[in-house]
Amino acid sequence: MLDDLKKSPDGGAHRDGVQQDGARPTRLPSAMVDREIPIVAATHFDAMHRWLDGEASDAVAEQDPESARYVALWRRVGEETARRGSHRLSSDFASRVMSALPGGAPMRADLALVGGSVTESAAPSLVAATAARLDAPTRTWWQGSLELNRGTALAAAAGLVAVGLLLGAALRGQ
Amino acid sequence: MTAPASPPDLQQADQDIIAQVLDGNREAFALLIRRYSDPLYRHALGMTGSPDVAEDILQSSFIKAFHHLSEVRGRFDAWLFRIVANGCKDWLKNIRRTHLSYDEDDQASQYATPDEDLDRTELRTDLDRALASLAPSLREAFVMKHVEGRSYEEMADLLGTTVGALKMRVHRAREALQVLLEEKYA
Repeated sequence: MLDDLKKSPDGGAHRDGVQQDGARPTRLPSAMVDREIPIVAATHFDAMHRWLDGEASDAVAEQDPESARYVALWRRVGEETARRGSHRLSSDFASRVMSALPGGAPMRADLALVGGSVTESAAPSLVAATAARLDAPTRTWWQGSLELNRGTALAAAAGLVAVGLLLGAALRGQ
Repeated sequence: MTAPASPPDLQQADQDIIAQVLDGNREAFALLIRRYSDPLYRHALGMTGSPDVAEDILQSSFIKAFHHLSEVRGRFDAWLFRIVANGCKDWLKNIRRTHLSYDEDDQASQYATPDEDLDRTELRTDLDRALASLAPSLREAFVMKHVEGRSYEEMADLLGTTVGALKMRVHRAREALQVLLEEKYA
């Protein structure tokens, strides 16, 4: 099931010696790069890998000339990896980790997101401080919303006229 | 040896514990540590070759997980695995090892003859050296398959890649190990 990576002159229309009706247009080389290539089948020691993956019996690996000489090696490695697979931590590991944790609960995502300056190193005990900070007004004046009513509109207009008059007078003076 | 998959009820149980911890029940986090520490320890041990380093990586991973618990989206076990796996890879990148040992297990077995023990210790050392020479991605795949006993599907789920790619990594790791060990053992 290997992909045929050799380019045929007709772009693959005569693949396997069979003329295909309505042959597809020639594929660009870049399209070939994007294809998923099932590389597993290309490997040597196929019988050995299938045996080690539990897909074939011992006899299959032992009868395959390429794999047979490694069967004993893999049995020994298997014993060693099985031994390693049975390793366990000491029973007090959980309590040691718990005692190394900072006090309080971890920071909640909503607090962490709004209090953007709280970083990875911040301890969960900062939760309360962060929450308190969130209750206080944190926006600077230019980030606040502008409420426009008649009074502020008139004041703004008068200010602009005054600035215009001052600029005009200054220019005439020159 | 096979690490358990994470069925939906276990995932739900994890989410319940996480909610408790975030609500202030800090002690509930110990349940998550007890549930996942052994399989993750085997992974870290297989990757680093050192029980002390494996335990350190695991401890710092759990502390990191605690800090970022509110960021868990989806499966907690897969999220935690990635923290540990990245910790192992960072260690492999940064530390040049001079010695590998499974010291705690080096004492003689009461069932084996001295010759068998010597033989086993030798293979252990040779296998450690051979594993250490593999690229981290190949070593990771081999350890997950043969030390942790995970299925390719489970590995693909945890590592976010395809079964085909992982088979290829495991096969390449086996063939590299064969080359390194065949002179002495084949």
